[in-house]
Amino acid sequence: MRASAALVALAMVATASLASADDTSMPEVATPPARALLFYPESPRAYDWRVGAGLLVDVLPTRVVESEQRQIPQVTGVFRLGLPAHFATDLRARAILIQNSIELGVSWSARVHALSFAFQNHLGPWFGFVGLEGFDTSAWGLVETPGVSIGLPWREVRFSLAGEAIITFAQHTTLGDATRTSRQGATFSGTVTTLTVETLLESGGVPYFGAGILWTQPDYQAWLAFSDERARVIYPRFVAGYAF
Amino acid sequence: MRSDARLVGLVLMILTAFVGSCSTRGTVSIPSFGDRSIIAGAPRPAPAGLKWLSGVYDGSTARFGTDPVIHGTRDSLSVFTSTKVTYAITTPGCIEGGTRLVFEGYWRQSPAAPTGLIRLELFPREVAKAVCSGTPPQLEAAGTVRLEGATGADDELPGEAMSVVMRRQTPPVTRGFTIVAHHGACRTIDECGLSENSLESIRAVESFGASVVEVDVRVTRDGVPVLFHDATMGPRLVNGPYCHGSVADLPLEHLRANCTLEYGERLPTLDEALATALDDTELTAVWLDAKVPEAVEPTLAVMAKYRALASAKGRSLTLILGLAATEMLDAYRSLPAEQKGECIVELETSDVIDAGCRAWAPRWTRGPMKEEVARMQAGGINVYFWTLDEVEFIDLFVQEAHPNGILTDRAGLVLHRFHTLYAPNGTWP
Amino acid sequence: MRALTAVGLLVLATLVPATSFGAEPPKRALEVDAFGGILRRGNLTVPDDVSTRNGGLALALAVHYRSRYFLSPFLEAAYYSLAASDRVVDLGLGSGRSYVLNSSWAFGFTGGAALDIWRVRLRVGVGAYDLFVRTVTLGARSTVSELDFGYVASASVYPLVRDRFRVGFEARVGLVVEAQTGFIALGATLGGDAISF
Repeated sequence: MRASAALVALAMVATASLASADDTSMPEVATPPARALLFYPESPRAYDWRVGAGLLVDVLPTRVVESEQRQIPQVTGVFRLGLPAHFATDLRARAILIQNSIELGVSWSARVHALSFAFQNHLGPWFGFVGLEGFDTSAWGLVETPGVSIGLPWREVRFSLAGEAIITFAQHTTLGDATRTSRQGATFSGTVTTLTVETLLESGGVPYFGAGILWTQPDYQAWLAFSDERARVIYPRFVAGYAF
Repeated sequence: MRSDARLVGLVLMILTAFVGSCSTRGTVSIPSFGDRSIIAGAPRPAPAGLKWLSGVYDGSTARFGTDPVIHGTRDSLSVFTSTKVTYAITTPGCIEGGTRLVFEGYWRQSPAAPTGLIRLELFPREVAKAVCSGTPPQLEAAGTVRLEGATGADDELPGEAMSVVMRRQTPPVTRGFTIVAHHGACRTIDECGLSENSLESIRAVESFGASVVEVDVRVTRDGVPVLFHDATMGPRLVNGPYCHGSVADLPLEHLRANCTLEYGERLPTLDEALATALDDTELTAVWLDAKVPEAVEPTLAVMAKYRALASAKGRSLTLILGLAATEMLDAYRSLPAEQKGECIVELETSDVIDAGCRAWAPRWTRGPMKEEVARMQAGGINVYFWTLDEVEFIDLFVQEAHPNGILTDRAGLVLHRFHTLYAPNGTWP
Repeated sequence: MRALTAVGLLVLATLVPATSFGAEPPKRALEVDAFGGILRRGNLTVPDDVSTRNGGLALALAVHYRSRYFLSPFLEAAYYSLAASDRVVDLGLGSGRSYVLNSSWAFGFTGGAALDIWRVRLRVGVGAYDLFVRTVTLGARSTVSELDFGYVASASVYPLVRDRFRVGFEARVGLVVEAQTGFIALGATLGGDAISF
């Protein structure tokens, strides 16, 4: 199946290349957006900002969650502010009760011809609560996600491919009246690679969507799965939202 | 336009890789001596002798730490440690006219991590001869009994020496504290070569360190109780190009026709499972977790049948029905008294008492609840936490709440902690 | 072999001169597309089978919203005939080996985005598949279904375009994740603007 899919992809590339072979039109210059974008690597103009809201869904493998729910949807919010000297800062938040996080980030970008690059780092706490039948549990910890991203503009669209490492620190779990701290110190928990597409509308808004692949230890993402497996598993992520 | 096309091609290649990478099932590797075995075809010692070897040992071992626990069952000898959840399962053979007792098998770091071969020999030879002849020696085992041998990596012959001496003998079954194996000997994610809720897994539970097994019961469309955990068939637990839907949608013959368990075993009925527990194991109890209310009544019927069979054979085997949700509890309560049996409730303490059950099984996510556990135990109700797999949490719950046992996927780890940490002098609590 | 044929058809299709357009294409349009083709499953291993049909008919109906923007969102409903087998299996019920007939099919409901470049359309979508299995053995018949998460991706080439209509070839790949069922389908596609504005 993988060979067939790869062959189809190759065919598409071949076709698209052939399609462009006799096209003599000049590449269009991408019009810079009037305001900041949320995910595109190129830093916004100094003190330019934008805010967005959306949804994020991670689809966990059943070998970890067994017969429990695989899809973990989260409501997301992002705020980005441009800074001088090609820096930018952003705040990204996710929430779903059992898994919430707030991360503050900083990035620095550079541009090479049409491509933009950025180095970024985010740091912040994550926390979760469950008080349903059979649960009297909460947990929190710190997570850091250093990464790089590359961006490509095309007409009114901005593609951003970001790769981040996930570094987790101690996990503090409260069960009833008992508290345990596990895994002291920084731990490399995995990576996340995301492709995001932002479309600049005439109205000024920017809808965005994307998909990603996570390669992480199960308990980073689903601390409630209580898996003691340290091997990393691969699973997809989907994002969509709107920047105002 | 040219750059547009190439960009699209690149995106699609990534998507192709993305689609193809969704499968995360691993492959299991159980090393075997094969024709390099020196005990192939050799007679096995009597069960009493192997159990006599159970104890806490001291020594220098690369893989099992400095205080491994050796656990003898009627047909195997296992090694357990807390170090990286490493364990070994070996089978015995008496060779050279019964003057030498050698154990061969595999070791593994759980889950599904490094593995290899292990070969051990019992010393002194006089002890080996006595065990092979069928009678445990009449001497002080501590300080005398020695196991020497080696471990290896993957399929390589063992070459890394290990030597351990018994520090203290332990009973083959923990007294006052019950280790319950969750779904069978090991779970899907551990890839030990045995499927969850299979007959083969039930037979292996004692080798993995537990004396009680917990299995999950559902009912087919034609009313046959079978062992299966999940609500629907899926690649996590079963194989088969036509294996889809749920247990309740299919009659037994269609389940059997379309589905095999992860390692090729047949999906067992509850009747087959209890027959296996009764005839092929020395388990002290079976915890039958009813996953749907429709499973309660047929499970109780099969339990009654095997209670009578066990009694007729003079075998002590407790069968206990697990009630995990309100619907199952209501289904149980609605039955007349003569149809009921022993039960364990996973809800509130008041539910346990109202239902007339003898045991309470709180989920570990509620915390140790030290006072409530003590109150229930004072009222004659045993308490078992589920499901505890991480060392830190196992220690916390056992040492703070002193339950009567725990349900775990790491029976060997718990057995090691019990003998070396919780009850180092052999007394509990 | 079929994949190579698909590649060849796609390459040939791009070399066919485009027919002349009518008026300037509308800025926005709701387009309806139909697909019909032959499907083949990947990794189909059927133990104890006497005979197995791998795949079958694939049909789909999709609605695309085309605008001046980069991607066109779409919604699609599809039918896929996945497999059928005759098998002889020991059911472990004491009746020896028994004859078993199986067949499986799926209805796919997906949504996603399409990209149009010249006469090529590329699509990626996610959604749900309602997977059905029918089993007949020992005189008993059962049909079960389960709803699973899945993906679809396709590439279409339209050598024939007339005003609002276009006809072409399509190759698509689908994956029903929970069922670990993947397939590839090749066939013809016909589309047209239902509403333009």
